[in-house]
Amino acid sequence: MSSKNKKIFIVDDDSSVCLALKTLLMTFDFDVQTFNSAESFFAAVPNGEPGCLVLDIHMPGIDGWTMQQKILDSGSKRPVIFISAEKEENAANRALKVGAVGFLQKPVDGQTLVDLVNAFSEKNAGTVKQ
Amino acid sequence: MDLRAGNSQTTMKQEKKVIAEQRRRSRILKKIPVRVKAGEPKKTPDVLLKAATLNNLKETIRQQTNKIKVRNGQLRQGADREKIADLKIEEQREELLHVTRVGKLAEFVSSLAHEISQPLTAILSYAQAAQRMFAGREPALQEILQYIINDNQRATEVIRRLRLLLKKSHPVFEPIDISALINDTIALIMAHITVRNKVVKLKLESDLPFIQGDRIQLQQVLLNLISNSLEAMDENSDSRELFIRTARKDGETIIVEVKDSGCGIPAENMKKLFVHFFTSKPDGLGMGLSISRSIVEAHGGRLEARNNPDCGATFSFTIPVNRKNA
Repeated sequence: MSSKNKKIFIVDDDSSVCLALKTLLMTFDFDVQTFNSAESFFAAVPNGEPGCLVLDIHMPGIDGWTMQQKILDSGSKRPVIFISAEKEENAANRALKVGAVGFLQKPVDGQTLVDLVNAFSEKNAGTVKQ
Repeated sequence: MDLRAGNSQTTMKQEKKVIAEQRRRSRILKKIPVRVKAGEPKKTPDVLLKAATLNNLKETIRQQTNKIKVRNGQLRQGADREKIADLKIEEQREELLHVTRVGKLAEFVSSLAHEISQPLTAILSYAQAAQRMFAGREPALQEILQYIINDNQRATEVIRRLRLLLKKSHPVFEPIDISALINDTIALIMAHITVRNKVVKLKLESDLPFIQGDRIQLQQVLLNLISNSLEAMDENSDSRELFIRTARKDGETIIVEVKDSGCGIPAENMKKLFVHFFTSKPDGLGMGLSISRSIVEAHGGRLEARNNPDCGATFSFTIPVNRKNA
């Protein structure tokens, strides 16, 4: 499955993680945009804009769980993949329960992430529920 | 008129007193066995009376002395009770400190794991990106990138193990047969022991009461002590025997000893043995013994180490018996 031009948004408060994941995903020909907070993502990306979201859970301000809830509440069907450096009991189950398409423990393996993105970004994404 | 009557009443009273006193004396005298040796002048009743009074006095003193002794004992008991109460308060304070220490360690490891996972994520992503960028070219670079990825995985594995060790699961306290637990633990590590050409000798006291503890945590302590002992004996092929002994320390405590015939513990390391991140092994984490001690202390016991008089070291821990089964 081609990744050409598929859009991925990365939201992580760690700039280093953002840049590294962006560099990696770009080698798979994704169009990647990074944000260091939920607030900056919401300010820049309209609900309807297609694209898969790779979302860190623990962030100052709006955290990943809250951000995912906001996305659901807005009616967006944007696929969300949670990534976390914390080892949380049942975080993977919780992620799926709140409608995410995946949960990956950091450090994230590139190929696994790409497979997940490819599997779900087709169904996409950003279309607003009517 | 009245005076006379009054006088006669006074006289009568005095007479009555005298009579009563005489009766009292005669009563006392009757009670005293008169022992007069031949040749001795017969003791007069007055002397005997004095002796009787003296005896009475002695008896009173003896009774008072006894009362004082009893009271003294009571006071001493009170002081002892106070001392015991003080000790208990001290113990509880220490227990609280230990619990705090275990909690702090878990908290510390959790935040450490998080802080390290972030740069590890970046390193892995960069290395994988570079591998893809140079795919099919630059074999030497590819090899180096693979080394970076491998070591990244090694660091990730260390974090995973640390997290597993300090998993914030609530300990399940249940009655445990410590001898059975030791046997189960040996079974787990037997292959490891055999490969190293070592022998385990068990001296487990029979009919020990059950202890109260978390099976997995205590097994973790045993595994840690046993594998440390095996490693200590690795340097010397002559030292082969590992002794594990259980015994009753007192009515309420059981002691478990793991004794090796290895290299022993250098004096300068003795004090640092249980300090987090202290290790004398080239690839050690310095977590095993500090975690083991935290576990034992959370069970209300103590973990200690000493060098044996001949060679090697002995680690011993105490664990309280389950009161219901004691």
